[in-house]
Amino acid sequence: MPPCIKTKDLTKRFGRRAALRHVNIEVNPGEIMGLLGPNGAGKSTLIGLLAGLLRPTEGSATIFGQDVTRRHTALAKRVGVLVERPQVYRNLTVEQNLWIHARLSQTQVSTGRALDLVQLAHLARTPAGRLSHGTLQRLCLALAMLTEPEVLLLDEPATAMDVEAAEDLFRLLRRLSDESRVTILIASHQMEHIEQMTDRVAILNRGELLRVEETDALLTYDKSRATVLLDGAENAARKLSEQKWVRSAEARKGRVDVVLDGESIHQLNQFLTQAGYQISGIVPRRRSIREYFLRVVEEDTAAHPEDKDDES
Amino acid sequence: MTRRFWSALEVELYKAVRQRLVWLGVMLCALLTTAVSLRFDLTAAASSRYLYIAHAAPATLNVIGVMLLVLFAATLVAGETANGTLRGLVLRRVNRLELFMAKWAAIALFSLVLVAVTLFSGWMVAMSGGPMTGVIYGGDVVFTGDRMLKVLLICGVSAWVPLFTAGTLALAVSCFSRSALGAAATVLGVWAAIEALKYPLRLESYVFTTYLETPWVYYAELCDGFAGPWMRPMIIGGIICGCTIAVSAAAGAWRMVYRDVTL
Repeated sequence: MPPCIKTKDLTKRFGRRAALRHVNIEVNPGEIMGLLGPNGAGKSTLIGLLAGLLRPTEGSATIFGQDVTRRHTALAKRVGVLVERPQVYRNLTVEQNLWIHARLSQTQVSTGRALDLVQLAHLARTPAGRLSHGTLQRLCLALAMLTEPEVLLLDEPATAMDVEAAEDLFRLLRRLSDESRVTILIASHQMEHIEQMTDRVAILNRGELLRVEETDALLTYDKSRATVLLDGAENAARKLSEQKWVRSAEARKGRVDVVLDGESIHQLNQFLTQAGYQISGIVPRRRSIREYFLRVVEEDTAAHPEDKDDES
Repeated sequence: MTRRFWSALEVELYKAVRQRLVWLGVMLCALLTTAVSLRFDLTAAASSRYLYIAHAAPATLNVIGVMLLVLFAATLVAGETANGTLRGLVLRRVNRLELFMAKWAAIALFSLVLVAVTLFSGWMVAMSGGPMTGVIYGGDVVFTGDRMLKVLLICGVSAWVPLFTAGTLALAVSCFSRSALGAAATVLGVWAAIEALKYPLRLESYVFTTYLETPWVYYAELCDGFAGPWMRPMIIGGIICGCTIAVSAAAGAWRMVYRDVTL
């Protein structure tokens, strides 16, 4: 199956500064891809280029095989965009905002259905200026979903939202993905949500695409690190520290955080049992995307110190 | 393309009628036109009632009308850029040129409404002073009431052209600006500079702002019983305005189509 979103050597410069450099990325139909990167990495620029808001300096971007710049009107109905900053007329009501976008979309769409989707039907006649940031983002999601798009481009959709509102938004996105098989490209700093909802993650830094990885492949267990729950944690930590195959052992409130020299959890279990400790559990540490992301970005930044100087 | 343009225009008008500035503009034009009547004795000869319109219309349109139009045009692109709503519009199934044309058409309509409101309220106030029987001197009808009305309508259209030119120029500047206030200040600043320099530099014939007055000067002359030459200044004014419109619209459209709309 051909990729749904494809970029080829996509480059964007603002004056002399390159915001995005020769990015080649492919997103498959129905897939959810997370875009990760520090501030200024080029995530928003990539979303802007795919949405047709920005014009590429070099290279091309296609969605469903159609150039996003040249075939914008043909693609507009099939692509929904949600960005960090709400794009609504604050003097108009929720319903009127939807009407404007529906009219420009040239399709018979049900504004009521879009409002139901984001549970805003009860606020249809409220001026958008009176809504909280979280509710405004839900309205923007309704605008993005108005034409029932097959692709959603999301740029920091939950920034400045409180935890509960952000949780609601991501739950809604997951539901959309499950029910409608919408292809989603999402740029976000909220790693835990990226971990939960994406199929793959792409890491950008300094405008370059560094890695594209399967999310599940990154979320394995690190068998060289474990937390042991047991009685007499401090004593056990001291004894473990003396062993050659233990790099470090730290006692904390009834548990010991152990870093092993190699994947020797079995040996750890055996040692503690033979030493007479009553073990409640040994939990190997789960790798996180945050960890991976920080490592990749750190390595890249260290390899290109001149770019760090440019940014500052 | 036509269908998309009409949808975009419908949206622009939908937004415009919900803007306070638009209603404020209509009310201000009617009020200022009415206020100018205090300087005229409308109950005297009919010619004084026509003369009142010849003074009230430019006083309203060339000051309040121009300022409102510039502010309105400034909000259309620069204002929408600043508050992020332009991004929402360009993401829809309408291309940027159609969007620009819809906004341009909204300016044309708004300027037409301002002219219509000014002339209508002027005519109504004038009629309240007595019948509009034409220009009469020494018992002779020099220009009939029908002719004065027809010429007034032609003057209205002729005054609309430079007013629309001002709106187009403001829209072009708006396309290059990031805030409505900045765009409006730029246009009004340039306007003030042109007005201050055009006579010392003898450029008045080549600047469209001069032609805002032209129809009303001709109408005032009619009120005095004298039909001055009108064809030549009107044609030159039309050409100057046409050139300004073409250049401004081309620059604005180019910018709108090729600009980056940031997130």
